[in-house]
Amino acid sequence: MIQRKKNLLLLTIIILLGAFLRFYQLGNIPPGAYIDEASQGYNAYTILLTGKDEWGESFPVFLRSFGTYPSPLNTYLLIIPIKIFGLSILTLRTPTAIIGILIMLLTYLLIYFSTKPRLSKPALFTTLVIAISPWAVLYSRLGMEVNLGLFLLLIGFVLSLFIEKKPWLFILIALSFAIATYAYTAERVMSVIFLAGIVYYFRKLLWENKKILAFGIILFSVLLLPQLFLLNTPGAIRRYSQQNFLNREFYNQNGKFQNIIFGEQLYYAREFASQYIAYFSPSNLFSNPDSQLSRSSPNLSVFYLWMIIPFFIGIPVLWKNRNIYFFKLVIFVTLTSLIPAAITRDPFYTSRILPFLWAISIIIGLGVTNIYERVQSKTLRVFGLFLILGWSLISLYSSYFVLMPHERSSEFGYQYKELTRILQNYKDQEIILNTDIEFPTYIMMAFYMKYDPVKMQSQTKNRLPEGYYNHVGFDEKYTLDNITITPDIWTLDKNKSQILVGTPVAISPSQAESHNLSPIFTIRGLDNQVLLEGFQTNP
Amino acid sequence: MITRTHLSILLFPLSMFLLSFWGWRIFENNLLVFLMSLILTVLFFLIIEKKSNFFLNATFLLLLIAIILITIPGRLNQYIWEKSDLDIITITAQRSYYPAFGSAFHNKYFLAANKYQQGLMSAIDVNYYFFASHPRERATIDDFEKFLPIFIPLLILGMIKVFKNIFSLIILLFVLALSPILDPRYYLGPVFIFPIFTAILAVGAKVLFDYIRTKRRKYL
Repeated sequence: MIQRKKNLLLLTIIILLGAFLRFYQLGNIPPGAYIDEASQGYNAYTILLTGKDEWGESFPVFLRSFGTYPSPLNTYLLIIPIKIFGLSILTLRTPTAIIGILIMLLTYLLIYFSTKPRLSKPALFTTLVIAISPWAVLYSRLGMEVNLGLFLLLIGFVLSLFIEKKPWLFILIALSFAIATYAYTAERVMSVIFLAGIVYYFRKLLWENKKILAFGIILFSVLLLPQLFLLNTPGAIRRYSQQNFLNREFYNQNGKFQNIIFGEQLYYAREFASQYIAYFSPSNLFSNPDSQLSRSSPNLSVFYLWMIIPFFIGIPVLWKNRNIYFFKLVIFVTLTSLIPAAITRDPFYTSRILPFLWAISIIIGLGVTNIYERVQSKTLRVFGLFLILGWSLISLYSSYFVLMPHERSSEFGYQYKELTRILQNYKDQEIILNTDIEFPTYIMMAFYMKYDPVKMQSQTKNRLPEGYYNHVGFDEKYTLDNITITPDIWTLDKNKSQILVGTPVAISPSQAESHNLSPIFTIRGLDNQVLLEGFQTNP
Repeated sequence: MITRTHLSILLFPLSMFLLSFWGWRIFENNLLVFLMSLILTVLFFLIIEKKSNFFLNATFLLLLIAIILITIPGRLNQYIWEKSDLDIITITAQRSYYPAFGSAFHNKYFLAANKYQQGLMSAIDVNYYFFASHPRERATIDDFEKFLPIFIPLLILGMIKVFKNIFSLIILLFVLALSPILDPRYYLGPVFIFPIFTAILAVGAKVLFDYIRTKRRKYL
């Protein structure tokens, strides 16, 4: 009884620590909305107010967004908090942060209930690892869909622990996995793999309960039908076609073995193997950050450096306990969840591998438990725990809470947040805002301005001549009230008084001089670099 | 007395050695290092397999030290101790963000330790050995393919045996710990790791061979 209370107290402390790391300055760090956040937030806002997304489509299966067709579930879920709290960065991120805490809880339950007798130490240590791990904190603080996908998969895993006593839970597992396919792109593949794995593992039990098995599979298939019907559209496979290396064009541009028989197949096999193995590399897991600046923080990888030791210790511990269903599941998740990521070109793209990172966290948690149990001295245990916890929190603070917002404010559209504020002073002036080719500046401005969805829909209604799921192209030109967003600001009417806004590259000092422009404001990032400049024309 | 069994065992390290791209690159550039690597591969293989004796162990250690002394002097990784222009710009900017921790994180020993650990992580990166660091190739460094990717399972099998042998584990950790101090642009790479790695692959090959042979005997 006392031990139970102690475990509950420790779990509470760990959850509170995790909650603090997820909620501290949530609206300000990162210091702006990433384009995916802004897009999901704005589309949720337009659906709330009009019942349709920015393109005038009612509850689409894949959200067109700016041509990337992300999964829609997170956007639909955002409708509720936006309705209550309004459209803001904090509103976008709060549901993800809550899900991050639930992921910690689900992990504790998974490990605790999978062992007999109930072992609280591995459950507590693994929960602690997830509470403080950079990957878990980072993705709990981004208002995107990746955390939701992992959460839905974990619900299925928790339910699978009790399937032997209650076979009907298979239906809920199938439901959870089916919903996960609407949460994130990688989950469309992972859900199928994991469901197949669970069916295979419990095949005897499910075969004795054929009605439940059939109902679950039919339910899963029916829920996937809307996606399956769209499979032959460019929109449904947009992300896949943009990112994968399994195409002749990519091979011709990059492939080795071009003069060897079966060279193309060999190239794909090698590419897949290198991408797959790279995710297991200790340098990628513990040292080098993800190269995507918005999905990493400076000098900090997905795990802390010290975790490499419990990682290697945890592997044999996991293997020795592979007869326990949950640890078998962890091995299965570790090996199979990389398949969708390994067929893409991006090296070590962390948002596609959250289930894998979760499984690695469990291995690390097992390693930490093993080390803790080997150390006999209580003083040494406490000292060691405080040392590594202190080191981790200092690293996280310096990298994520200090360096990242300063060095990467432009990655998170900080300049557009500031621009929206400054342009309040120029409401009666015509603004020409330069945008990069294929960068959706319009969605950033629409988000921060809380631009009228009806006006947006009236602009976009004729822009998809090939249909919502077929027109994958992207037009950068938009007009939001008095702001014209265009990649070409120099085709302007020279007789009009306007304000031109662009980066120092788009409007260089020599161009400003030759066009007789007067500088009126400068927007700097948190690293003091000039991000945008505003100039008044002098016709 | 050298028996047929001894010779057949030595086939594993010899074949792994000859099947490696790395070995042939060394052969093209430095015959002495090639020959030393060959002997070291065989000796380390025997150490992992616990078929060596004091004399062979001593020979192994002497040769290993010799190859390290041939390789490292004159090719130290200056990057660890020197601050590049980018380092200076980064440090100056970062110090302004958080003055409280600035001096701790930008202390030259801390910086050197950080660069050392990055080099160490590269040395234990499987892709470095089997895919020339693809898909995260390193800028300005000529990463070359060292072993065939098909040998990766042999690495796993070999590592399991290494972890069960304290002496071989210490040797492996020692050469890995040395690798960051070698200039990463050296055209032969960390050659003192080469025989260790090749021997581990050979051990893995032997484990697989023994397993298949045992299975065949069961069925025949």
